[in-house]
Amino acid sequence: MRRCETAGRAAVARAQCTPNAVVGLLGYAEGAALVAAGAGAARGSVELVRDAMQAAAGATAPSWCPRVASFPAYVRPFVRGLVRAGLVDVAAEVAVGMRARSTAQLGDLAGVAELAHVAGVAGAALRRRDRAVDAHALRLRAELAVLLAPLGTCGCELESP
Amino acid sequence: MKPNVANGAIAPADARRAMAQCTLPEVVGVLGYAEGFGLVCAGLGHTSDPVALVRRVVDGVLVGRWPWAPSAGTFGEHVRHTLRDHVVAELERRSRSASDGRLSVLQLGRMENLGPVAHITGCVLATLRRADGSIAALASGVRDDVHRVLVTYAGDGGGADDAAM
Repeated sequence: MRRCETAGRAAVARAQCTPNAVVGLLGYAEGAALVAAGAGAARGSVELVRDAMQAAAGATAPSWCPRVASFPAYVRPFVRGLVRAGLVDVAAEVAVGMRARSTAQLGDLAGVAELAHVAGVAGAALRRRDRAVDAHALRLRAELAVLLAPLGTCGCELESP
Repeated sequence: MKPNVANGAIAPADARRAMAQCTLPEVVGVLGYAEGFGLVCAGLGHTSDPVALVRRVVDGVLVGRWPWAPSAGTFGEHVRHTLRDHVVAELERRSRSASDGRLSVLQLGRMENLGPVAHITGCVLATLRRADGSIAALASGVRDDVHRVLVTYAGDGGGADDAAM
């Protein structure tokens, strides 16, 4: 096995986090967050993307490799995971009677978690044409140097010589 | 008490058509749509019980507030369209009166883009709920209630013998 050793991943990730790409991530997080909040797991979309970027930049295995996917594409499943985790927490609290199930939810939570992803995909597509999200994207992009700092040299394993 | 058809209430023949179309899968689909649509709205701070919302829309359709034209689609489709139009209009009205146009801190962009997001989630959850069976019992009760109301509009002909589309 060889190591990838692509250097300067932070710079590559920053370059890939274009305004449009960040608006897409925010749109995804917004759509997913609205469904999750409807089911009782409220969390802001900017906060979700920020936490997802931090988690993605600090992830060990599998860590992000620029040869495999763009950084924004790598971050999106982290957003999805955070939303799902919030819904699982709510379900656990409902199960032990710590809180009531949301009035808006009729069926199983598994369906709601899937739905949050669908709403996210729709949100990402629709917000790309919505200039009102640009200001949020601009503020988040200003934090990229700090958020992506943990990304150093890639250490993933290459399949063939 | 007999409904007043002259005031725009659903016609007996259309009520019989609606009864024939209100099958359990159809009602699960309508409730699933209302649930999916409503989850997005609840995230915006506009929470409502999907069952109560569907009942309100069905009542409005039957009394002629939102009349159903069978040639334009099924009864269930009409309920879904009416629900969507009604809730989106309410959200947009609230959005216009909000100082920054936002209904919730979770909302990043314009309100007009969230109607389509809620519609898509509604359509997807309608399909998911038909598959996961988690609201079948609830839907069965709603279907029985809707049938009971429709019978009062269907007139003496009752049943659904002439309701084939």
